[in-house]
Amino acid sequence: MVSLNPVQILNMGAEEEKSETARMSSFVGAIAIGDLVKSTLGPKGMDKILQSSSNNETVQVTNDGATILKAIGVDNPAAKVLVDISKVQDDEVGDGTTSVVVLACELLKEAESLVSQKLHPQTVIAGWRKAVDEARRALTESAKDHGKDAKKFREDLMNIARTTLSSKILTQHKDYFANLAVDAVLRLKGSGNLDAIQLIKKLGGNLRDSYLDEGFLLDKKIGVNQPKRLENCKILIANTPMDTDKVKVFGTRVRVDAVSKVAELELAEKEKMKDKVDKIIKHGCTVFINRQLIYNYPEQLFADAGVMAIEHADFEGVERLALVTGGEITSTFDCPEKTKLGHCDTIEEVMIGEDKLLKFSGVALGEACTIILRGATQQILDEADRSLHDALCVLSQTVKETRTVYGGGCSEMLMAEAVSQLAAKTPGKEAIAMEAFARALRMLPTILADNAGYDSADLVAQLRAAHTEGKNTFGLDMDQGQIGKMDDLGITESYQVKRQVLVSGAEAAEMIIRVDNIIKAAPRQRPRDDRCH
Amino acid sequence: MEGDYDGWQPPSEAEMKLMQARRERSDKISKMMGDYLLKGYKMLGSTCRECDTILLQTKQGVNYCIACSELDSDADKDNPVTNPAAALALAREREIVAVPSTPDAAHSQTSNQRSLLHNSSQFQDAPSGHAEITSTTVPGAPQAVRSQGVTASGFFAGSASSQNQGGTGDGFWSIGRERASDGQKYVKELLDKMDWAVAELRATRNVEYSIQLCQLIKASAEALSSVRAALDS
Repeated sequence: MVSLNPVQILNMGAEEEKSETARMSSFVGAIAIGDLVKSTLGPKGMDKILQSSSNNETVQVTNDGATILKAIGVDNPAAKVLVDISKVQDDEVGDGTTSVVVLACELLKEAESLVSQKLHPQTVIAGWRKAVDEARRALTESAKDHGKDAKKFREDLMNIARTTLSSKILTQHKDYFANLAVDAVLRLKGSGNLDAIQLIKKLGGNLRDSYLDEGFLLDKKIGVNQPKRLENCKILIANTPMDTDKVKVFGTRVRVDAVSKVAELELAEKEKMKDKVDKIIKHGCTVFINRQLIYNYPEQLFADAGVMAIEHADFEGVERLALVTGGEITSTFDCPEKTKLGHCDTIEEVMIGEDKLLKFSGVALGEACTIILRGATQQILDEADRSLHDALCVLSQTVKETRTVYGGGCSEMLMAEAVSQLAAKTPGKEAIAMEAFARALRMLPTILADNAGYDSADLVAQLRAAHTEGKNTFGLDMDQGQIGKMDDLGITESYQVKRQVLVSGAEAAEMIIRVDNIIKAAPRQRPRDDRCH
Repeated sequence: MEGDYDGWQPPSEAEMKLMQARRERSDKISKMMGDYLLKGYKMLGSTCRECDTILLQTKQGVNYCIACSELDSDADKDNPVTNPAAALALAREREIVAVPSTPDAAHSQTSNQRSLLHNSSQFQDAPSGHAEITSTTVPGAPQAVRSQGVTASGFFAGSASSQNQGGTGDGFWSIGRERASDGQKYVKELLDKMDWAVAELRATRNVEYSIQLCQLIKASAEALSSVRAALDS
């Protein structure tokens, strides 16, 4: 007789959730995430305060979906998928991080109702695949391209920057900052390398005091007694220890048998340092920038030779400096002919707020520029930094992929219209899934209107009617609370952003729906770590 | 319609209502979860044993289920011990099954099980359905008391004391007389309920809850006296 005891298949400590429970737990987790960021969408979206879970109690105020999702603690697998999608959107395009999560969440809500109506998830997915293709086709058709016309293109870029900034804290001065961002990006001349644009945050003043400066700013000080202003500089960038009396290997000991030997050691170190400095000066540079410390003795030697020495430039600063001045980062100084020196026209000290910074003007990489951000509190500065970074990312993407589409819910309604029409022609149960997809797309303008406090059902119905009639430039005007033409209002978005939102959102939702079994591995048994004893 | 969808039927009215209710509950849970996530709680991958909602973990490592702690449960409304409506349903089902000979009972037996409650109300000649009866059984107590509500015995108290029941109250009591032994059972139920309420009263520190329990005990006592009066008469 076969024993009827339950057979233990999984390891001790592993868990498994099956069908209904797995699906429900996936849905609820992901939907909770979507509902969380929903209220930040659109020009009337609100920001969130994130309280840090660590002991130092930093507080962040942010509107950016990716930042919010990075900060909350999530262990649930479905929710993790959404958080990842938001991160990917941030890395790829920069904007639309909230939209993608909201779209995925709405799709999941529709899927949940379909599955509870006994529709098989694979049917839903098949329908959605067709819907995504149709929506993508409709979006591509409606995209406009002004890449050839410089004036119109700048107009486009301004509109896009304004739309991106409209949901963030910088919306108060969005014209000013849009101008700033577009100037900075156009300076790059299509290279798309955002490293050349530096953002420096300085506490104090208000947002309006921020400005764009050509040239490169370094937040460090010049050594003592060294020339404060240099023209026609040759820059040697290095990453070498100039503090030789520190022991670099923990636990080493130097044994000598007499005090005089200690004095000899010190003298030998001094000689070594002098040799090093001589080698550096032989390169013929007028400026020496080191990533690490420069001790007093070499500093004095540099001052004697009339070389400006700057210490402790951090990693990022040094990388950027190398990029911008055209020099190489060196660690050894034995071959002066082979090292490439950076170049710039002037280096001088400037004062911003209460701090002194070094300004490198006329750098080899003409595209380099710096944006100085001023703000009343650290939170405002951080948020302004993130928003401007988003805008810059989107603009640099648009410079490469010049097509634009209309924002304000117009593209979503357009896609939903196309999908609905296709659904009406499709036989079988997939049509129901496609209708659900169109409904989910229409939820985005609904959420925009809800956040603004207007009657979302009414507005979206009007919008839908307009689109069915063929007027496909109509979208939501959140200032007046009615529908309006997006080309008149200038609410434009990059085609790349919208397409990425559509595709990523649909993929994430599809992946979560396919789950019907969740298996959690048993935690790995680690031997107790006794190394500290 | 059926040919188009390969035999799939769109769900019926009742199923839609059920799905709607479930969806609303799920939405409420999601919203509360969002608030907690912002406060620093961590969403875990495991679910609560009782209600299958996703668990949240505080920074100290304590697991917390939102639905069990803060929302009224989904399944509680079908549990006769805690819910008067469910208890009423249970009582009526028992009557219908036990007495097929009476014309009124037969009348309700022929009708659909699902609209049992409606038939019982016709039986009672009460103007509307279920909710009405429930509200009349606990005079004065707020609607939210349903989770500590009165059991089937409250049904009897209502029939004796309320104005709505009118003439067919007699027809009802004729049945009651025929099943005096059941009456004893109902008395026992009432007493059990009061015992439970007193035990809860001893245990709780919440003022609101205590007030509700006292009202429950009062209503139970009234019910008890009515039942005993009915049985004796």
